[in-house]
Amino acid sequence: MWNYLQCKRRDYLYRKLIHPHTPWLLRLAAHRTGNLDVAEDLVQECCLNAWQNLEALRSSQNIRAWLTRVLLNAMADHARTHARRQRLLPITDLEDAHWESIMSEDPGPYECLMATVSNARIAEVLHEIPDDFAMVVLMHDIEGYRYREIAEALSVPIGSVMSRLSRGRRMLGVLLRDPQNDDASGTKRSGLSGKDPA
Amino acid sequence: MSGANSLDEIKKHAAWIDRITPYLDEELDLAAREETRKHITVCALCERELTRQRLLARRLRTLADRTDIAQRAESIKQRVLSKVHGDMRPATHSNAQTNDLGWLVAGIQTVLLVIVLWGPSHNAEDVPMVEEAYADYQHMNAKDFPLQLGRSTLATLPLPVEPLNNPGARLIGSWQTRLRGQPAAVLAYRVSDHIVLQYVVSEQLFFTPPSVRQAVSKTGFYISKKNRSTIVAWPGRQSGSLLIGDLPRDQLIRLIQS
Repeated sequence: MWNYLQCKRRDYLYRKLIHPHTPWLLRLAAHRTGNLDVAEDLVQECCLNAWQNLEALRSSQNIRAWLTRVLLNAMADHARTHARRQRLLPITDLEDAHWESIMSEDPGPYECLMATVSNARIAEVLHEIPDDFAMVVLMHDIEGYRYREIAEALSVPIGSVMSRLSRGRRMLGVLLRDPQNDDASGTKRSGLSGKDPA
Repeated sequence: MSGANSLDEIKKHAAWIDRITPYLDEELDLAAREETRKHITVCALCERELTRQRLLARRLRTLADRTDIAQRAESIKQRVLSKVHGDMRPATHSNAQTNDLGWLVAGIQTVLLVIVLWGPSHNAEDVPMVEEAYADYQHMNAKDFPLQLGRSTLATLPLPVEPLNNPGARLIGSWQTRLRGQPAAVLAYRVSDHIVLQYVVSEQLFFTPPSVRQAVSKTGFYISKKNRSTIVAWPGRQSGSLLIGDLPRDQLIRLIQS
């Protein structure tokens, strides 16, 4: 009976502390892996881990950041074993293209692009950005995490979060408006580098 | 900066541009925010950057609306809870139903536990088996434990010995004795700084006293209090046990509930 009550208490804690964050985690994993079924498996693994650490988690200041960190580790493991093919992006060129466009162009065409571009297209382009930048864009702009929370989840300083978000948005903006990039196969650009130290 | 006309000049302007992101996201402190706001009013470049980032961020926010996510999240919860309880049957109740039912059962069991823990206990003198076990417990506590400790000392007993399986109780010795003229096993455990003894008897002897039978059929075990000691008796698979120790009754009951 005692064990039963203990189990019920843990179930209650799970429902109260972990379950409310599951949709966020699921969306994060789905955006990054591009596959909702894989995302579901990864989030389940993360939730099982959380259930086993409920007591420690209960005293945690920020449960969502803790869960996100566990999920990111699971995603990193998954990426290692399922070697995601990410094409290499010329980051410096993309940033130059961004500067040139804001120097010469009023926001009208950009506004038009944002109004017409499809969700699928955005998801596809987001998938092409290096992980360091894409993850911050996903967490902040799509999932609504605050900078401090992202810093805690990714174990980086807040300054890095700002920098990665800023550069991630720039890259995304350029890739979305780049007609060369309309090809879904994504083979037209070839790489200078796929990762940039932020 | 509205006069910037080369890429190099814009790059020199990067420090201001980098502030646009936290400015838009309201992550700057008040002073920096005010400074940036003033700059944007006079800098066309930063104003354009702000507009672009705002448009993009607003567009990205719409990607969060996925109606199938909630359903999948619920399914993850069911699977996680099934898995941790070692029960892989698919859940058939809604979350609210399962929750309410679980709490109802837990509540009823808690009430039962409280009744058992704080309700009146039996008088040990009514039950000769319990009386003898208690007398032996007192006798053993007053002298040295037998030197030949170990489970092998119980091998010759004609009854199955089912020791406690609780991490809070460490077996430190065992020996044979006799209760009501029948062979019995004694297992000594250390529980924190206390010693508790478990007397294992045959199921025939265990179920002989009517008060034990009645208590077991009602609550699953029999409780008795004798001076400072508590005695809990419960049936095993093919035997019966009495646990005696100078511990509160709820602590003693927890030892048998692992």
